[in-house]
Formats: sequence, C-alpha cells, structure tokens
Amino acid sequence: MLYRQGDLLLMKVDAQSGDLVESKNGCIIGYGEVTGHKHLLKGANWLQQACEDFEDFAKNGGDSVYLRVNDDGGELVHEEHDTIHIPPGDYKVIRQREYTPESIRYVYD
Amino acid sequence: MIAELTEEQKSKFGEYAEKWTKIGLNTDELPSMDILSKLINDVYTIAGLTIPNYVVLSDSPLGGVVTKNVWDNVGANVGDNVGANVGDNVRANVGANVGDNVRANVRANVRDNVGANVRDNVWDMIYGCHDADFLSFYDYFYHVCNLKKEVNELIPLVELSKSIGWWAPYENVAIIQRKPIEYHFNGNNQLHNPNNMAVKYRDGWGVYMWNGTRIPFNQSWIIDGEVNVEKIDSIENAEVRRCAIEKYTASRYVTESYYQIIDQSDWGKLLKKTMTDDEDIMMVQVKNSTPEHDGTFKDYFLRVPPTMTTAHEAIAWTFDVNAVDYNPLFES
Repeated sequence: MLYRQGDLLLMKVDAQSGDLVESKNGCIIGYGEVTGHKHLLKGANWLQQACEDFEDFAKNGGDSVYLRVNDDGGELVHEEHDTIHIPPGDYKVIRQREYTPESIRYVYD
Repeated sequence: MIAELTEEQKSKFGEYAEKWTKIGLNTDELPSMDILSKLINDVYTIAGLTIPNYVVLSDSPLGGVVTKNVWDNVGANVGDNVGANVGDNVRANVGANVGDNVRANVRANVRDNVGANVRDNVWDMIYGCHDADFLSFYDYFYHVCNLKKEVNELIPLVELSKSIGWWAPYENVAIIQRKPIEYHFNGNNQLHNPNNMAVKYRDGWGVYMWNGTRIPFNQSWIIDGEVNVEKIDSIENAEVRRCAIEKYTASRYVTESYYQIIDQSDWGKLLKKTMTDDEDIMMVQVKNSTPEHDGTFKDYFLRVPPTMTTAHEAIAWTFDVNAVDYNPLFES
C-alpha cells in the first residue's frame, strides 16, 4: 500500500528490524525547500537500522528510511496538503526525485 | 626516511586539511607592503636571485596579465627557480603516499574547485592561495613531522602564497595578485552562483559557474542576462547548454520548444524534446493533488530518464518504484 503526500511516498512494508527512536511529537519526514513547511507523521517513531540521519533525510532527501506507525494509527499532516490517515505498521519513506544527466536530485515542494 | 606516519601524526590530517581549506578560500586583504616585500625578498634571495626593483599589486588574474604586458621590462620569468628542489628534498624523505591525505582533501576543496576554474586565465603565475593543497603538504611535514631542514627554504614562499592570489616573479618585477572578494558555492560544495559571478575579484573580473561548470564570458547571459529557447539552442557546447536549460528550467524549455507528447493518461503527460547532439529531454507533467486557494489544480513538471515510455512509468520512477507497483491508495 502506498500513501503519497506531495513529494513524499509512504510504502507499507513487512515488519522491519531496528531500534525505535522515540519521538513524542511524531516524525518530520520532509521539509519544504523555500516555505519551511513540513510533512509531519504523528503517531510514528523512526526505525534506526544503521546510521540513518533522519533530520538530514527530511532536509535533503537521500536513501529511503523506515518508521513504525503506532497501533492507534498515524496522521500525515502538512500546511498545504490534506491530512492522510496512516494505518499501523512499518513503512518505507521515499523522497521524490528528478533526473538530470549529471545526477539524481531530490524534489522539494 | 619517513616510511609510515604515527597515529598521532595521522590524527592531524583533519586539522591541517581544515586549516588550508580556510586559507585557500578566504577573502582576506593582502598583508602590509612591508611584510609582502620582506617575504618576496626572502623568496628571491633563497632562490639565488637578485631582489626585484618593483612590486606591483593587481586586483585579479586579468590585472596581473595586463600589468605584465604593459610593463616595458619585466625581465625573464623566474618562477622555475622559486621553490626548486624543495619538493624533491621532501619527497626524498617521505615514502610514497605518506601524507597525501591532507593534500588530497585540500585539493578537492580548493584547487580542483576554484583553482582549476580560474587558472585558465592565469598566465605565467605561480603559487598562491589556490595552490593550498601544495602548500598544506609542506606545512604538514614542517610542523607535524619535523622536516624543518628539508622544508625551511620553502617557508617564505608558503607564507607569501597563503596570503595572496597567484603571483608572477620576474627578474625586475614581482606581480602580486590579490585574493578574490567573493566565492559562491552550492550545497555540494561546487562553485555556483545562479545570478552573478561565482568567483569575483576587486576589479570586477571573475568567473561564472553553474553547479561546478564554468560558463564562458561570452555566454555569461546564461547567468546574469536574458535566457530564451533560441539562445539556448545556439549554445554549441552540450555541457554549457545543459546549464542554460537548468537555469531556464527544463519544463519551460521543453514546453516553449517543439516537443512530442509520448503518452497521455490519467497519470499525466509524458513530453519529449528531441536534442540534436545530447540526450533527449523527457518530462512528466502531472497535476498537483491538492487544489490551490482558488480551487484550481496546478500542473508541475519533473524531468525523468529518456528511457521512459509512459507517464505512469515516469511518475513511478520519481519514487524509485516500478510502474506495476505504483498505485497510491491515497494522494494529497
């Protein structure tokens, strides 16, 4: 199952290993480049599998990261997008990208 | 002979790389003429040369070249004499690859980035702050590995070079060039300024750069002038043309040119602009899922690889997902 909010995609995946990074206020999964608006997933915690830098992912994109939505479910909110209800479970967070002949660049809305 | 560095010596790599990167990229004014003259005199004396009659300051590499060309009798260039043999002395005392870490780090940040892009305009000039990688190498061995005897004769040249741009030593005149007053970089530490020069000197001379690619002076309109499709198509160099397309935005370039609609569906449109001597530009045009304040839905464009065949495949690619798997349950 896929849930998309602007330039971010949440992909439901099988249960992942990793340490839960407790975040009372939820996970900020992306910042806008100019506006400072943010995609915030309430009711979720990051899953630390290696040395992922979640803040850097939110700001700059990069390789996908994982998070776990609590049993009560989560809410993906953003200042300019409709809120999306996210069912419990583990998710892969993917930042939208764009092609250039020189490199792949991540997109910011 | 130093065959291997100690752990303590290795631990200084970062410190020296940082120190020389800062030196290589700072925009400090020149030291006083007294200090400059003393360093120049020391360099000439160590090289066995007669001290020059004049020291001339220039504001940029261009100024240095002009000075050289209008001066009646600068004498022969003595750059080859300056610092000669010191490199051999140090290399002879340092095993292969030892200590190149500092130099490699500084080189990436300063010489390959700034030096390489400005240097094409420098003629007859030798060591300056943009050669920080070279200077860091000797500074490291002088201070950290105690190669004082081997490096000692180079110290005045190191001290002079770190506080100036490049310089040109002639028999009768030493032409000293000031450092730039501005550097601009992108997030990837490449020289880049979308609206003006990325490296700028006091006399207004400088270098235009777009994400690490040098833009020729006669095409500086890409950076600070008016860009349109016709002008972009007139650029012969494919790399520079890509910069111009990026500045103009690929979506605007494609939609204002002749383009083909390769695919059209509920997912959006896939547009193709055929290029004559570069890879084709493929754009996917999609509607924003969230309405604007006036209730309309804004289109947006993303560039995708030229191998895409459908809008669905293209939009799935932007999320690194196969088209067959890309079908979001909810979008906003």
